Amino acid sequence: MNIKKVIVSLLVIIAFVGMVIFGLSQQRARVKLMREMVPSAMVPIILVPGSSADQNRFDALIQELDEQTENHSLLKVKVDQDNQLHYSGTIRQGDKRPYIVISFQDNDDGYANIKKQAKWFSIAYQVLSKRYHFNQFSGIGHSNGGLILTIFLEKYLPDTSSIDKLMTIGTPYNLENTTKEKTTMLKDLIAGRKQIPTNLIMYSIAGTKSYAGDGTVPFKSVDSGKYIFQNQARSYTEMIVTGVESSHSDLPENKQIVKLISRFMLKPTRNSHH
Amino acid sequence: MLGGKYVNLSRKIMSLNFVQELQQAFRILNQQILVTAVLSVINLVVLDDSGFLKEIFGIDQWLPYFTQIQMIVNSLTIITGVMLIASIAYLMGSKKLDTYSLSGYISVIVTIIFMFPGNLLTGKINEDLIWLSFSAINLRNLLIAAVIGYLIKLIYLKLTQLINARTWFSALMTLLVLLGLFVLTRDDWTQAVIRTLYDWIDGIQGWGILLIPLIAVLNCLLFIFGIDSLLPVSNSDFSDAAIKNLNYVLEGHSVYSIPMPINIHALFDVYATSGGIGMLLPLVIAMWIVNRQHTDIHDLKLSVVPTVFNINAPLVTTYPILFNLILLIPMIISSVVACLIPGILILLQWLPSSVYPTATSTPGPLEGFLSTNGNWVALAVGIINLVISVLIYVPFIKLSNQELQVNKHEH
Repeated sequence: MNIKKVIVSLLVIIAFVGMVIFGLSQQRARVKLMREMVPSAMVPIILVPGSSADQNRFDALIQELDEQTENHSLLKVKVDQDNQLHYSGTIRQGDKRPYIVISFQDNDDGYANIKKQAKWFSIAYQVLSKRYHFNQFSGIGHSNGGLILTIFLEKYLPDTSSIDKLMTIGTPYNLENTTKEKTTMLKDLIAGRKQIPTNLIMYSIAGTKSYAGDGTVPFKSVDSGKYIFQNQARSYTEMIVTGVESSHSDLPENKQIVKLISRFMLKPTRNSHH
Repeated sequence: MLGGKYVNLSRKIMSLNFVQELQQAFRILNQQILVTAVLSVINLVVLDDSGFLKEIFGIDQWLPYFTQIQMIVNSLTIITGVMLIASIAYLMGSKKLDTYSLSGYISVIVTIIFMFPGNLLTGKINEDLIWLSFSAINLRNLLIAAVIGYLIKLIYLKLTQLINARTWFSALMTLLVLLGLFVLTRDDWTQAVIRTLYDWIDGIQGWGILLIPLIAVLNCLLFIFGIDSLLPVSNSDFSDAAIKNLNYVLEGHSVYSIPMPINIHALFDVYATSGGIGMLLPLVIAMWIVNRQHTDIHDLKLSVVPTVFNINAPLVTTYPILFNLILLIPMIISSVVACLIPGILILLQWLPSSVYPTATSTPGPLEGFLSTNGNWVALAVGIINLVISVLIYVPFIKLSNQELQVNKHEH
């Protein structure tokens, strides 16, 4: 009789704990799905400059965009080596599509530094998404900034967040390599590609001053992005810009690129899951 | 002195004709109720698209022939449910239980007219209504059938007696009551009235925490007299505040800054309806604790499982809970306490408000936990509410048991 009681109580406890555990995991999945279906009121465009560039890298570009379309607010955030955030500019109350430029005090080139910068980016992202209540963003990365965003998507994008669109401009997915041989970084990025959201709309823009590239980044290196995004992101579009201002450092001010950004990036893609 | 009067009132109400006949009908149909209840649990909790167990164990993913099983069980539940409703109407409508009864027969037909899931004039059936009303055994249907049966029998008895102005008049009056009931049971307008009331209380915020327990009291009162089921269940779709809060949180804002943290859904629905309105899960646990020495608690054991998943018809039909004023007291106290504990914690910001929707068949103590997306304080509150409510119920169940003994002896 006593054994029977013990067994029954054990069964009740096991059933309860089971319902707590399974119920929670199921509810978490459901809430995540609901969150994705309801995009945040604010969907910022986050811009990341390349190596050696500071937080003012995109000023001309954003001024140009503001003149063409409606005026959006601009917040600049610099992450220092101690993970501290330094703000300049503000996000206007009610602005649903502000620009946020995230730059780094240590903005050196090289894979090891890029990895560090991606980590700093993720710290800034978490602080900003909580502070300004957003769970969706669009990304624009110039040069190594595109690598930082890619690494962020592969390693740090929180479960509760999503990205609708990413545009990388002259991003050297295979560093300065002019051959087909893959660098360690490219290999790592390809290894982690399954983590890239499948609903991402991806644009990669290459500048070609000469047939080989934009003077700094070889075209082949930009083109290597296809090994990462193609057949993983919802769409992967590669575009080549030539003509005046198509050298690497001019790209963010290039008139054609400004047009491409205003055409493809300014409006967020709503409910891209369904 | 006052207590004695109260017990007397309870005694009087319990010995009313209607109550006695209803309990007799429930006793006769005991087996049928249990079968329907078992089917209901399987249908609503294990197989239904939004069933609690189906969701958490992903039953549709691994059970072979899931869709077929789902459809068959659903049909069986509807069939047994409708048979049960008809049986109640017949038993309550017939003068003597053992003979063919015309008034019983009429009661069944009138009940079908009342509950027809669709447009009576065109015969067009509304599938949503079938799902809402017949996918599980529900007290509302059984009680409407019982009242219809009882009233039809009254009319029938009067018209078959000496026909004079007086009997005609009283038969006409009863008919009017019946028509009033028909209007009352139309969901659309009762829903509108209650929605307005609920939205008003939710709009108050802060001090609204004092009004929400009143809603709990009102619900318990109506429930004891079998009317709870005339009220639509205020789930999260029903509450404006809940929808606003949910959208706010889904947009990425913090759950601690939602616009309406204190609302009827977040406090009453989530924390104070464990096992249905009136905290019936702690009631059945307390009953089990008090009566565990008795040998006749087999049926009680059987009604525990449905109550865990908020299907309370088997419990309420097996045990004299309806019209039992003695049980009304702990019911009200435990419901109010169960609203207030999370309410105060939410005001203190120690507990996030309940914002995420849960399946209606979610066990009571887990509802707060899941509707906060896994807040451990909410789980603790759910368990504490259960324990406190059981403790509140125990002495009253003892008292109610004594009362029922007295009643038995008197009959």
